[in-house]
Amino acid sequence: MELDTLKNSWNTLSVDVNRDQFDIISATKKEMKSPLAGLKKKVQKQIKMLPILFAFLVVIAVKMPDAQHHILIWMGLVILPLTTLYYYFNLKLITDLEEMNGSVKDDIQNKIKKLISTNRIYLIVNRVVFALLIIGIEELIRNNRLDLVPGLETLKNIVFPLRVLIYAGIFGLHYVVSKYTFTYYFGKYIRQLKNILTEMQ
Amino acid sequence: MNNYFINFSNLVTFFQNGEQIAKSIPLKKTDLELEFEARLKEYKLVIYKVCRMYKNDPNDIQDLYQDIIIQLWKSYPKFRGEAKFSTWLYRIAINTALASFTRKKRAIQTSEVELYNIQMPYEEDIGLKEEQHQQLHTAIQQLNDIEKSIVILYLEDKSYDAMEEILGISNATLRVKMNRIKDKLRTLTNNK
Repeated sequence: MELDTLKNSWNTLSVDVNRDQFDIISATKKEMKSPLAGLKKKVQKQIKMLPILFAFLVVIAVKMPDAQHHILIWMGLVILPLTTLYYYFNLKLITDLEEMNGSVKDDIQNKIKKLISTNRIYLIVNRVVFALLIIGIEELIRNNRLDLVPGLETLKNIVFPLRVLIYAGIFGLHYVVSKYTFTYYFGKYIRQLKNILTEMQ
Repeated sequence: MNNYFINFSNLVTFFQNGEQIAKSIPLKKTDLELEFEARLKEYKLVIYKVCRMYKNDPNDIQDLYQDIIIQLWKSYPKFRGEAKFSTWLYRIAINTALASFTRKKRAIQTSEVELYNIQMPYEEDIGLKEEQHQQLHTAIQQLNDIEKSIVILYLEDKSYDAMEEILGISNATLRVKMNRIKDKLRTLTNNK
C-alpha cells in the first residue's frame, strides 16, 4: 500500500470533537509529563531543601559555639547558598527551554546552544569564585590573619607547592563534578536533541 | 482567652470546605481562554493524529495529547500571528512530540479523574482499523521521529514550503527525505 492511498483516506477522516467538554482552566492546572517537566519538579524539590539545610547549619552554629570553629560548618554556609543559586539558574534554564519558538529545527538548535552556553558560563563563574576564594585564603595566610577562618592554621603548615597542588586538585575535582552534574541534569536531554538534529540533516 | 486560640482541626475543615466550594464554583473563562478554545476546536483531530503518529500505547497517546494542549496554551499568549495559526500549532505539536522521548514506566496512578478534562477522540473515529491501513501504520511506526513528522505533514496535505516553515528543513532536503520514506515504507509493507 502506498502512502498516497493513506493520504486520501486520512483527509476524509472526521471525529465528533464536541463529544468531550474540554476545559482549559482545568487543563492549565495539570502537570505536563514531558522530561523537562519532570526535571523541573526535581529541581524545585531540591531548591526547597537547601534553605532548610542552611537554616539548620545556622541554628547549629548559633546554639553550639564549638561548631563555629568547625570548618565543615563554614564550608556548608558558603557552599549551600552557591548551590541554591545554581539550582535557581537551572530552574530558570528549564523554564526557558520549555518555551518553543520558530521552526522545529531552529528551536532545537537554539535549545542546544542555550544549554551549552549556560553550562560554559556556569563553569567560568564557578572557576572565578574558586580563584577568588584561593586568592583570599592566600592573602589571609600572607597577612597572618589565621583567626578569621577555621582550619587556616592547618593550611598554613602545608608548604606552598603542596598547597598549589591541593588547589589544582580542587579545580580538577570541580571540573569532574560540574561535568557530572550537567550530564546528570541535561545529558540525556541534550543528547536526544542532538540526535533529532542529526536526523534532520 | 480560649477564643483566641486556633483549633487545628477546625482550620483543616475550614480549608477542606473552602477547597470543595472552590471546586464547585464554575470559574469564569477569560477572553483569551475562550478565544484559544474556539481556535483549538478545529485542530483537535490534527493534534490527535500527531500523537497517534508518535505513540502506540493509548496512555502515552493520552499523555502526549494533554502535553501538546498544555504547551499550546502556555505558548498562546506569545502567538502574534507572525505565522499562520496552523503553522504555529504544528510546530508546537511536533516539537512537543519530539521532546517527549523519555517516558518513565507508567505509574498506575493515572486515574480517570486526572484525565477527565482532556479527552481524546476515539481511535475508531479515525478509521485506521482496516488491515491495509493498519499495516502501513505499523510500517510508519518504524520510521524515525523526523521521518514521522514529515509523514504527518504529508498526510495532512501540507506543501513542501509549508513543511519547510514548520520543520525548518530545506525544501530540497524534504523532497529527498520524502522519496526515501516512500521507498522505506514500500519495502516495509512488501516484506509483511
